[in-house]
Amino acid sequence: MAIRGAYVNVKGIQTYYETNDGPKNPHGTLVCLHTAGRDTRQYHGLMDYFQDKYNVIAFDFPAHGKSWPLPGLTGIKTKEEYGEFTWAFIQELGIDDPIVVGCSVAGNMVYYLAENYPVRAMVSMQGSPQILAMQTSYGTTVDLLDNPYVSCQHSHWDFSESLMGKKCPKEAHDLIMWGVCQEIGRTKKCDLSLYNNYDVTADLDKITCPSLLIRGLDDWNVPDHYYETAIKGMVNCPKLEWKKVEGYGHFIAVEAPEIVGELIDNFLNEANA
Amino acid sequence: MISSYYVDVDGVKICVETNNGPKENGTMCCFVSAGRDSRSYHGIMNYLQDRYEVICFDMPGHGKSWPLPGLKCLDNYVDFCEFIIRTFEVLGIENPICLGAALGGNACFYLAQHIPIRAIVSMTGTDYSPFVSQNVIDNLDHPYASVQHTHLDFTNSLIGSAVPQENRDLILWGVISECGRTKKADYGGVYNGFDVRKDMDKVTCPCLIIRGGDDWSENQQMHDEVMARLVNCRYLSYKVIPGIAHYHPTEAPELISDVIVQFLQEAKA
Amino acid sequence: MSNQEKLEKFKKLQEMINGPEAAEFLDYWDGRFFTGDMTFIMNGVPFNMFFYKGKMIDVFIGQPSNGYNVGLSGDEEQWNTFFQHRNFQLATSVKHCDRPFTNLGSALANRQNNAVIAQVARLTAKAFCD
Repeated sequence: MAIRGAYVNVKGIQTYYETNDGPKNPHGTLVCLHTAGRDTRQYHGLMDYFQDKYNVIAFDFPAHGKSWPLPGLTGIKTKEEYGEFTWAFIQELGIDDPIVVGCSVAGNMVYYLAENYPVRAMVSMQGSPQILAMQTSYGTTVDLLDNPYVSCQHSHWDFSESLMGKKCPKEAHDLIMWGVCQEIGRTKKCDLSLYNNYDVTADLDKITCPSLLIRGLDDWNVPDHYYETAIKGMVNCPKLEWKKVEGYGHFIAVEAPEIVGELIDNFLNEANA
Repeated sequence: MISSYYVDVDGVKICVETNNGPKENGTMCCFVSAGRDSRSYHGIMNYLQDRYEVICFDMPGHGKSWPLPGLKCLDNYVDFCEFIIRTFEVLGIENPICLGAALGGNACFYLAQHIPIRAIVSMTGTDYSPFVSQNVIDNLDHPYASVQHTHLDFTNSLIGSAVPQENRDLILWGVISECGRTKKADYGGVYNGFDVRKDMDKVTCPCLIIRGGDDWSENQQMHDEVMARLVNCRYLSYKVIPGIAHYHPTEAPELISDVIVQFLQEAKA
Repeated sequence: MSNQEKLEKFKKLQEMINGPEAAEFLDYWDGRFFTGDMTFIMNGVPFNMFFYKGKMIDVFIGQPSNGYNVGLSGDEEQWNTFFQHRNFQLATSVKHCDRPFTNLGSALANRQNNAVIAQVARLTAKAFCD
């Protein structure tokens, strides 16, 4: 297990990150962003897969994993904050060739990052440039994530179970469900509020880096039309690919790190990123 | 500079943090209170950076460590402490200085009874702690009660009057990020069932017992009884520190570190 | 299917939940925490189940006397669609389902018992169709 962790101060926040200390690849450094409420462990599979090929770095956003929360004991609530923090982390570590890789809420956010920051490439898994659901009754569900009368470590159980693919191995399944057991209600509420109140479609034409979109087809929560919306708007993307993966679901980087790794590597090779 | 890495203990992936300090004076191994993780000891790790190697690993189901198979945690003190001993073996740690807070403080007594230990520091620990009511245990991991809320006031009441806001916030964040399943195993299982009174005469290493003056959950009698059972301890020291309460390593890491270092010097440990 | 035939299916569900499905229902799906009424309204007809700590004590056609606690309401098409895919989260999703089930009882109670209701719904599909 060659994964190393450390702490760095990012915008005054003690931030935990992990890396496989892999070799510098001419395509770039993979900066991996976790799903809502989770942490760096989601990318251990990918780190191991790329041990001899890419330097892979993942960090815990404020109020996740081992990172400290923001002042007021809370998490990031806006896409602007998310972008600023991510870029500040990248700069703090001296990463001059970031390829941003994100899943779920981070799969959404990489669109924003690619629109506003000079990333080498982007990889979006189970993400969308537009989800507007907070004004529906779904907003009540999100609200109840941080409520004394509801343990989100139980209320989110079946939802998470439903999101995994048929082929998800037991070990990955257990890690994903352990993530539910460790959910932080306050953090999850911040993340899902961000996820469900998100629209960056107007600036998709600003994305000029190679972009890989991955969809685990067993993920009922992220339908094809999310990707179609993205592709329609990314008119200035020099290389844009959409890969569909059967048998895997919402947590695809955890469920199938080798498949995801191979897709990323092939894409970057072809893109000459 | 604190860094972390992973090791395999009994097939479980365990996260270990270290300050990468010098080993010449001995290695300090730190054990956290119920439900917590290695961040509890960052203050001590940083403060003692140039003097001691200080290590803290997350037990199964805590922090970044994986849980046991079946998404479970260790829920009795024997399995809990034996896991620590096996982790020492994996890490190649011998004759450590053991620091423990609350549940971790209890564990130090078990370790000192079973393996060679250079010295122990038990902060709010005891050798017998049947203190948790079934009513509380049942609701630590319950769909209708968020432990991240239900435990907030209790924890807040156990932070000392002199604790700076930054440290107070870290302790409260520990509650807000509690894992109910882990807390139930720790608090309801390991801590509540802890009883090593009969073997306290096997503890021969130097022992420091620290009590927080503001800790309403403890009393003098409890500590007197523990010390009375440490009949073969070659150097026993007891300190009551005003202004702190139950979470010593996080409440006042520098003060606690100074007390510990002085103790080790006096005990020639 | 007549209402009486559906009631027979719910009695089969009762045997399943209290029998071969009990261990998983009580432990993995939080069934052990649930005491109270759970109502499934199928095409306007309420089928009410009463549970005590995860054991189904009774099931009858009718509303619970204290009002709805938790449950689902849908027409024949909604239930048939659910019985086919058996994805509870999809069937109740206002984001992704054109015609999601209506939740009975409070939003709070349904969130508290989300896992339990989900598993009972899936086992209902099994009882009705398998």
